[in-house]
Amino acid sequence: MTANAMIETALLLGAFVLLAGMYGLFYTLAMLYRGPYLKPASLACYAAHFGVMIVIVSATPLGPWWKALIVASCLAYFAVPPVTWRYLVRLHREEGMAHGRKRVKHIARTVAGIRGGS
Amino acid sequence: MYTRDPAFWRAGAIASTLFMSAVLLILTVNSLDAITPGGSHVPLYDVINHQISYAYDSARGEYVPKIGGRELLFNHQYSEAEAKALIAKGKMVIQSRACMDCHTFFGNGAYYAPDLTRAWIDPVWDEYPGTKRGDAMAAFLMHPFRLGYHEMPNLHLNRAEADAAVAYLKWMSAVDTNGFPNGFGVAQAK
Amino acid sequence: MYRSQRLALKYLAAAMVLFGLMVVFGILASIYYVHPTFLLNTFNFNTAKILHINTLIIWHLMGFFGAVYWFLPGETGREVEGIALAEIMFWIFCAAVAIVAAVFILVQYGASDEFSLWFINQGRKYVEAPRWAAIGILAVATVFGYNVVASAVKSTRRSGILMVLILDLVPLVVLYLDAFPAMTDMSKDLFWWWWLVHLWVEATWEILIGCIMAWALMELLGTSRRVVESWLYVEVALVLGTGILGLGHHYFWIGTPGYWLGIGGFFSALEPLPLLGMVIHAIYDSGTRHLRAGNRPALYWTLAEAFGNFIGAGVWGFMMTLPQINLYSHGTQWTASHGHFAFWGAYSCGVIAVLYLAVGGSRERKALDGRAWKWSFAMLNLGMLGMVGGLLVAGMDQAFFERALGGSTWGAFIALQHRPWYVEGVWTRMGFGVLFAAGYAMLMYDLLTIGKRRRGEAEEPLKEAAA
Repeated sequence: MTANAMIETALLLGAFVLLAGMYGLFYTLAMLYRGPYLKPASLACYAAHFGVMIVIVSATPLGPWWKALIVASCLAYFAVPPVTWRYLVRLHREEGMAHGRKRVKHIARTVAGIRGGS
Repeated sequence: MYTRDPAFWRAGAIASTLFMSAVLLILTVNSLDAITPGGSHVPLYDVINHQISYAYDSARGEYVPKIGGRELLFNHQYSEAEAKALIAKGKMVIQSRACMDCHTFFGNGAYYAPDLTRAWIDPVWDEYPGTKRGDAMAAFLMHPFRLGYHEMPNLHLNRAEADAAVAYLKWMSAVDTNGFPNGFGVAQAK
Repeated sequence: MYRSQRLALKYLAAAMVLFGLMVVFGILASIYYVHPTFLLNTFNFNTAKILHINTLIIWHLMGFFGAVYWFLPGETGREVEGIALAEIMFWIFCAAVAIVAAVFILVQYGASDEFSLWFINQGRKYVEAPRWAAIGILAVATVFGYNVVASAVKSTRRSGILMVLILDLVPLVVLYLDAFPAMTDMSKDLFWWWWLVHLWVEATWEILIGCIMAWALMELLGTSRRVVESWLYVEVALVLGTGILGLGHHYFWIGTPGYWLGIGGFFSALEPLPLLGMVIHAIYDSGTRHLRAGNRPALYWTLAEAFGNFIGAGVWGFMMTLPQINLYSHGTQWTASHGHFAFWGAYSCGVIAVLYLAVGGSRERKALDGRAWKWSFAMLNLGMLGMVGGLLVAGMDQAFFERALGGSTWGAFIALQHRPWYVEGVWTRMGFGVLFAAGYAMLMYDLLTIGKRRRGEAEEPLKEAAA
């Protein structure tokens, strides 16, 4: 790898993960707040992340298996925010349904336990 | 759905940890073999009796150390046991003076001073051919002088310690590090 | 307050003192880069660096111990078992740290013999402390482990979080045994050394901070135990699933077989994925409560932890983890950039969040707010960003010119020191280090005064988020 290609590839790899993080950030904010620009922002970030993946695959001197890993990661990053969101919502919903008032009591007990003692 | 059950994830955590740990242990056993002196990547200590160079190997696609003909260090033919004792002393010098807190070894350590992986064959010593290099490097270690921007401190090494540290550097330069540092001493294309 | 919580406050205070010393030695270390003969042969760079990185490790360990001692009684519903012994060990720990530091400063190094390794300096990065002190740390950690396990055994409540913590403590303590040997073969030395360093900071410490954050979230946001526990299991599965073989990214260049390039590169490339999940989780938790938590600094530092971990460890790490890049970035200021950012995001922010929770609890204030914490939050995080940015520029310049073009010789290293971007990078790091230090001073001021400042002030009720 030439020196230039090394720096360019490193920056692309950093941008790849950073844009995945921004997609996740805007996705979650969009689900929470439903502002008009949040969902488009999340899609734009993912589109940029996808674009960076294309550049990495087509224009960097990484070997084919590494490029395959980048492609697979790109798909995985797409899934992480919605899967995590759905999992968290389901977990909290079931918790609310199953325990109701018990949850409030439990928290009060934990906090009291921390403040209690000798 | 089972993914809703925390017990599923607990089982997953246990399984993934155990599986990955088992793979790590297997690879560790294999690697220890390669990194023991005499193994595939790390030479026996008596390599210090030989000439050491570093060149591009097109079959492997990376730079590899090359062990050449006889080139004595400090004008002495070391047996494996003698070399091991000398190099063990060298490691004690390196640890007692905390060399790794200014320099790097195989790129590990501190980044204030140069990497020492191939210091034995650094072009700065080119004026001292093989058999004279050990003395020159030992002299430097005992009385460091400014070699550019940074200045190395005087860590009060005696002759025996300096020789041992130099022997360590010579042995270390013969370790196969999968091509690190790339292109040592050779300018690369941009 | 339980005795364990009083001990926790001592540990957290000691941690903060060491954090301050770390900053002092860090700024000192940064001066040598711009003034290379600074204190030459009186107080060399390596002495400053040793003090900087050892205080780093110890302040975090003390922070973790403090956090666990703080939460453990509430978790088990009783005083911590063996608390008297733990209190003694705290003072032994502090005394040992003080003696080790004094010897580093005043003696610095000894002859190349066993005496030096036992009593002065072992010279292996992060574990330079002499063997007698390493035995001390092992003893403190063992008593800590005993406190946790015995309390769990004696208690009727054995939660998932507690079980994860107990299981995690075993490798955490056992790995520290690598602080003792002095192997001649550098490849072997580094092979095992990385078991300690990587499997601490990219495995067992991640689980430990995960447990601590689980407790913190329960207190801070009232999140239910079932939720934090489920999440903790997911985290453990993903973090250890990627991190254990991610150890291989330290085995590219130390004389180990070539298959580590593939294995290490592959698994460490996956490491950012769980970190993204943690970011989603953090935003979800704070967003569903509309960023309303009584203890606002604790909330913001918890968010900083999630984001800092993702960016510092995930993004910065991913830039340099593939072997094709790492061949050039390895052992440069680029590494230092990643190291500072990752430690800060993954661990320091979390310990500071716990500090605010403990301070709130000890002053019997569920709600904490003010201006000082915001200033220190801004200065510390901006200071860190600036340092890390400066080091990144310097490091990329180094990887490009010294390694890729220059062939990593001494001549290339020396030429690098004059290159304008490198020079600007190390000056920037120093300047932002001063900002970071100011942030630390503000943090100390705030921790000492928040919740105490105005007496008789009406307490803001802790609002429960709607289910």
